[in-house]
Amino acid sequence: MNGLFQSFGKGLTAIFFACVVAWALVLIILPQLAMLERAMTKPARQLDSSVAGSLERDAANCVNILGHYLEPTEASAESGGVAIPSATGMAIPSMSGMASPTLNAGAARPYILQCDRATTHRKMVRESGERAFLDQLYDLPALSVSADAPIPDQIETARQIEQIAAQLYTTLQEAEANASQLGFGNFTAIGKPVMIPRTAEAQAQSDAAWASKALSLIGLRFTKDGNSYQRIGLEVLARTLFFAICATLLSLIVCYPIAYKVALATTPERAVWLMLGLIIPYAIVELMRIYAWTSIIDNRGLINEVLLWVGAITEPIQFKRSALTVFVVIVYTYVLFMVFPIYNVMNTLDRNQIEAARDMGASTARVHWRIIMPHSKAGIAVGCIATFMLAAGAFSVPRIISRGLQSEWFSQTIYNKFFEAENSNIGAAYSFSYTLVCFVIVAVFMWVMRTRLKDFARVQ
Amino acid sequence: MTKGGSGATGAAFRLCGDKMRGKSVTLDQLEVTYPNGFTAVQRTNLVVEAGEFFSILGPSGCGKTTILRSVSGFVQPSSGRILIGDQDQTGLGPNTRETALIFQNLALFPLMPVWENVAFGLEARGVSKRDRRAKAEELLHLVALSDQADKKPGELSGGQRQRVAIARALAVDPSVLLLDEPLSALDLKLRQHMRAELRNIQKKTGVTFIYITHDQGEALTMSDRIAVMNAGRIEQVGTADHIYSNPVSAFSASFVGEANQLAGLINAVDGNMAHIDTPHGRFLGQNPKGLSIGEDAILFVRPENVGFEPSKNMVSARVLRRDLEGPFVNLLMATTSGAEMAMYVPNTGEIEAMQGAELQIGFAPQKATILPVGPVARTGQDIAAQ
Repeated sequence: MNGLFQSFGKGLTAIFFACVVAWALVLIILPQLAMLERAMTKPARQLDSSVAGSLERDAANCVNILGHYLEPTEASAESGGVAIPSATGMAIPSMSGMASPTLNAGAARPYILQCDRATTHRKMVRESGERAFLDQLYDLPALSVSADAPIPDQIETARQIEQIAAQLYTTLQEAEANASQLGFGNFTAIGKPVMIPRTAEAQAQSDAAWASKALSLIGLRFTKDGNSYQRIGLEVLARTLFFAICATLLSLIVCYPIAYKVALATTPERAVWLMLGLIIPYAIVELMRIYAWTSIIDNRGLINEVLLWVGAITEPIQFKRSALTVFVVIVYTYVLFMVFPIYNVMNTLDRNQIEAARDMGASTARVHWRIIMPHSKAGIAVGCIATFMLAAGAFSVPRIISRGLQSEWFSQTIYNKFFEAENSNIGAAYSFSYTLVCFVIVAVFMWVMRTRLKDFARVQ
Repeated sequence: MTKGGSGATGAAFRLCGDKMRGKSVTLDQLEVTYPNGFTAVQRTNLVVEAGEFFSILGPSGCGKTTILRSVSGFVQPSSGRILIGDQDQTGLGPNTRETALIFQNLALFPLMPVWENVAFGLEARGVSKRDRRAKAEELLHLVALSDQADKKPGELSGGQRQRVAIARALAVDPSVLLLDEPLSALDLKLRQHMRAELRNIQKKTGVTFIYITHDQGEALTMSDRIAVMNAGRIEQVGTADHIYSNPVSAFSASFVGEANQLAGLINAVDGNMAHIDTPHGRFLGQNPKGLSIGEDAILFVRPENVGFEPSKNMVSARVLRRDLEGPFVNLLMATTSGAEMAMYVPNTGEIEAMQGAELQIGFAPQKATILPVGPVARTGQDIAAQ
């Protein structure tokens, strides 16, 4: 702080701090808070009170129409006028199946059709296809206006329904007005099990897969009452994290020797060329860099064509269906993020230490394990963190490479929730939880590697 | 630090008894040319005796480190071979040779505690952890660092780190210990102390030491024998006394110790003596290389051999500068003919009175050496001007 004052003066220091604060606020704190708020907000849907309200209106209409029916002479004269507007206005999709039988029965009583809708067991459509019924939800008596009962009884039932609905409407309105708009419902949606309808053979086949066994082991797949369930959100999350870790490991295995070669095992003149070779691919737009791989891995791509021509295979290998392909492309796409931190740290190693270790009889493996790796630990940790975060957030690679032939990565799920399912509240919850989970993983990794924050400054 | 001296002796005997474990090192027609075409070491033959403290003395860039790295196996000779004992080392890597190298910057492993540093060579040989620890303790006792075993090298002082490096090198029971100017980073007092300690350890262990240095003081005080090296060539091999008193080349004479140089032509030869004509007068001196009349030559005479007593070689000069060294006074004289001559005279208090006056200075012919013209060591002034 004092140092800043002395080097830049008060004005510049103030501007500098203002920039830092503005950056932290606008790009980190506020977006996360906004995301959190959005994630906590319940998704928009028809309120229960509005269902109760419409039921109340239906019942009132019913009473009204049945009242007309008690005086048949007047009713026949006005038949068209009353029925049609109310029929169109009340078109609730769930009722469509029940319409036809009453139509036949009501040839003499054209308006009775309307009264059928006044039932307390009204169906409501809630989030993602879940079906709920008003009477079950709020513990109401299951009443309905029966077409076979005498008219006065029907009127009586309709009145009862109207009363109940009116009461429910009032209480619900009050409850909804007082209810908090925030909740953790969107977060728990990630772990919600979904029933997967499968034939017995398909089920057996699925159970045999090791991934399925692993997922069952941690409770993400289970069978209840003969039906198989999957916690799809958590499954995708777990699989993506596992894949991201695999891709990071692969990247480390590939990049450590590269960094070693460039930093320690090459003369500076040749290291420049190696470095250039590493950087040149980064002059190409990321999408192009990824897309270029499709010409290699396609069913009629380079590898398959060559193998077919040589005669090593008779059917093209389905690279697009293999998770390994995605790992390889991720490694290629983000190779520098792993190489540079390791290279930078390795470069600071006194080569005499390597020679001293060799001189004392250490094998190459021991030199790496005891001298170079401990020295480069901070760089390895930073590279792994960077690559892990990029892989975990990878969207274009799995999308372009798998073309939908593999199960999606969690980043794709989030994208779909936001922009395809138009359920951005759930998307926000997914996104926020994902950030948290990744943060925890990184924190644990740093603790395991005994990396401190100051190491990051040393690396770059 | 100093109290360790007595303890060190006992441990050393326990460590290796009185058996000599050093081996001789032979450079047979050794030549090293780097891939960029630079010949760092010209064709060289050299035998370092078993159990000897041998120094290679030369200015930086003379190829002495290349010789060391060839012996340790980091550099492959382009021709010739290296023998340790009677064993040809051609094709052996540094990790399979019986040598241990102490680096100029020591190259201790900063992330390992001291004892693991010392035991690293044993770890590489698959010795169990308990035995490693025991051996490390023993060696640390030898270098009087028993209580520092669990510290990191960064927590030690310069001299302590030095001794850790020595212990680490000795841990692998080397026949030959190679030292690449390990004392150059220390301050003067510590350097002098470490010289004695190194010599002591060498005596106790009997390991052959090959010591690389550009500091003639180190070479002269510690070594059994010295090789003076310049521009990839060994100019002279001999004991410290021999090299100091009987240099065989202009470079040897000028690099080891201080020497006044007077260039001229051989004018007359008389047995093993010769007369040389210089712009500053005619002088008589030893002629070890058998120069004949008419040859270009340089007469070398050490400052301590120049005095005010009358002798055959006299020249008149006045005092240009006077530096008090304590027991000695260093005088820089300017002769009337324009040459500068240095002389060391005992500090008897009479010098001050001489300032300004023209004086007669001279040196005995037996103390002057006439050598053929050749490259001479750069003076401090040359180096500073670069």
